[in-house]
Amino acid sequence: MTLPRETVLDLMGLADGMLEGDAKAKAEQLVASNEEARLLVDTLRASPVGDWVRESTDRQASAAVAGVADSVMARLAADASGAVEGGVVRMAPWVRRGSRRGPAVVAGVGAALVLAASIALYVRSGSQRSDEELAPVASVAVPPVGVPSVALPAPSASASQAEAKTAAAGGVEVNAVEAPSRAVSVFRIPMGAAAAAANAPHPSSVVIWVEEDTGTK
Amino acid sequence: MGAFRRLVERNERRAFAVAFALVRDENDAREIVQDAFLRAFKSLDGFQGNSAFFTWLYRIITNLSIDLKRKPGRLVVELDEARLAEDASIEFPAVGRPEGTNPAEDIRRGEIAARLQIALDALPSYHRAVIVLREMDGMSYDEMAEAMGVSKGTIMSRLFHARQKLQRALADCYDEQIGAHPPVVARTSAGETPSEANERGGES
Repeated sequence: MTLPRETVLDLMGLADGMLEGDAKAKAEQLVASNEEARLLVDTLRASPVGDWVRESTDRQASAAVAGVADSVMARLAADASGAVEGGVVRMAPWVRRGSRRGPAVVAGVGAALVLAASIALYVRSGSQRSDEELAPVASVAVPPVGVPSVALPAPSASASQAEAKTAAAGGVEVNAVEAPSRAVSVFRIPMGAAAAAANAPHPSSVVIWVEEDTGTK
Repeated sequence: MGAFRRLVERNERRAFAVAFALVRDENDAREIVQDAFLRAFKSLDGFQGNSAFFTWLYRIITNLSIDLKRKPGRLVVELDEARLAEDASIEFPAVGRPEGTNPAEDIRRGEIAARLQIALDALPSYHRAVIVLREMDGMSYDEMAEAMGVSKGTIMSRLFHARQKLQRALADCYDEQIGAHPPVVARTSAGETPSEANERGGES
């Protein structure tokens, strides 16, 4: 084939119906007068390659895009709600900022709770030691091992009454103390007659039991 | 939203065809199409309407395809005929009349479809894109030039070369179909082929 490159491209344009005006007229004139040009245009027009590409591509695309519109619209809806983009859940900016400080905030709150619980425990246990007339929230007298008697004072009973009964029964007094977010128990253990006979400096012992976690003491 | 959905449905097939022509992976192409429509929706305010919607969408698809190919660790290959000759047994969408009309014809169409995919795989992506835009969408040279950001002459040159390569690769199928071997314009009167280096002008 000896046609110039520009002429070949123009003839392709003619076969594709892309030429207009003078360019089209010139190409048509060449086709009418030049066998090589005519053969090229006829071949391009008769080529099945374009049809093959179109049909193959169209079939593949038709199968592949099933559900694409639904997916696009779902993602747009998710974007509009501000929650999801690209299949990844994204938190709102203020939450993201907060999340970076999360561990520090949790630690701070925990420390504050521990401090508050400690203060409450200290105040209550101190006041009970100095002011025995304060009534415990609950009081249970547990007899020592081998002692069959059990003393169960009423919840509203005063500490002195409970202690008196405990002393009489020779058991252990348990006071449940209210504290924020912590369960606190105060055990008052009388030394008994043996300790008194031995001239112990204190007639009884107090054990403060603070639950650190659920089930942990 | 309803209007945009119709826009998606009207353009999704050719958007996929173009994306697939560029990346040659169905899943990647599907993902690119979805991302392209999402970007288009978010940028609708910036769409001036000076060009056709699909021309604008094509640019988005092209950019997303380039981004995908540039992702770290991604294997980028321009497949060649020798490599894909081994994959001739892969089933591709058949071409020609609807299936079921003639078993022998169905087989032949399946073979042509497989050969066509191999031939398309062997083309550079800018040749595949131009042939798909032209043959599937019937886009004009000017529209393709605008979409691809190159001159009309470059588009014509690319299209001509793409067709020539496909015709050569499918010469025997071509013979069966029209009963003649396709003429191949290999050389001009100046003794040189239309420059492919010139074709790639502006290709990113």
